[in-house]
Amino acid sequence: MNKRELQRQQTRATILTAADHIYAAHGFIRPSTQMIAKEAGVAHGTVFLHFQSQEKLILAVIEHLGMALTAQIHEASEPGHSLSDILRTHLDAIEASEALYTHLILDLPQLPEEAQQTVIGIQSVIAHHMDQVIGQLKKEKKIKDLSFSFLFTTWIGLIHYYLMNRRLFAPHGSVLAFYKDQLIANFIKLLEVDCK
Amino acid sequence: MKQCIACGMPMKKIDDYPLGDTTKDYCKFCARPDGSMQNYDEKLSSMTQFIIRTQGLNPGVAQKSAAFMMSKLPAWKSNSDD
Repeated sequence: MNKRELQRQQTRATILTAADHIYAAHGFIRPSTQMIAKEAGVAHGTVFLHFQSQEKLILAVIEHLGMALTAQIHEASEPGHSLSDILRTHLDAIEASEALYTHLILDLPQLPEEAQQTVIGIQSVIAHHMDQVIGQLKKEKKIKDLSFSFLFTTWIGLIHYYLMNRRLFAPHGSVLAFYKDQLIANFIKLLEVDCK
Repeated sequence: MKQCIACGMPMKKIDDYPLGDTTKDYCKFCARPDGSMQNYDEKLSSMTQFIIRTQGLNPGVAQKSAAFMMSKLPAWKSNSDD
């Protein structure tokens, strides 16, 4: 790789990191590309040399987030993991980018369709790992006989409700750092078959 | 560690490969029963069905999302409309 190409890639990465910080702090809708250029320390026009439009920059940040989340979930998932381990892996991955992920969920109806598809992609990865364990627990009759999609959307709905209302649950910090253990333990209790 | 070219899943152990063949670049979930790789239409269909079964989405939305995910993977980049 020649020096010019290396510099081009470094500038692109700097802009992406700056956009990541700005969107994590202010959401995807309000910030201007001028704010991102200022944060990155580049001229406003440079942003458009690397990302032809604001929409393309937003989608690049979301794609990068999706790749980081799915890589972390895949990497941390091992055969023999319990349901609790998998749910924790999911929440740990979100927690690492909690502010950006929360804004993605909050702003989703106003973002391009590709953003929604990236979220479905992230969910497909965690669904794949949950499916392996839940299938086995159902066979052993250790959890209630509910459809996987109902269990999965209940889990996602629960997590997203806490994240979207973070000001009510954890106004000064991370919702997941505070509620992760409770959410996992109570979700599993809801699923478990009562043996009494 | 290899990553499946057709679905992106990391292949960490022999059991992740089709028929345990570690020379393959795709995982067991992207293989046919004889160990060969599913074609685009087969993979699109199986991924769509997986999304419907696990996330309960509308079939049209699920298929569009499956096509979008596949467009990012090395095996299917040439099938992308982008």
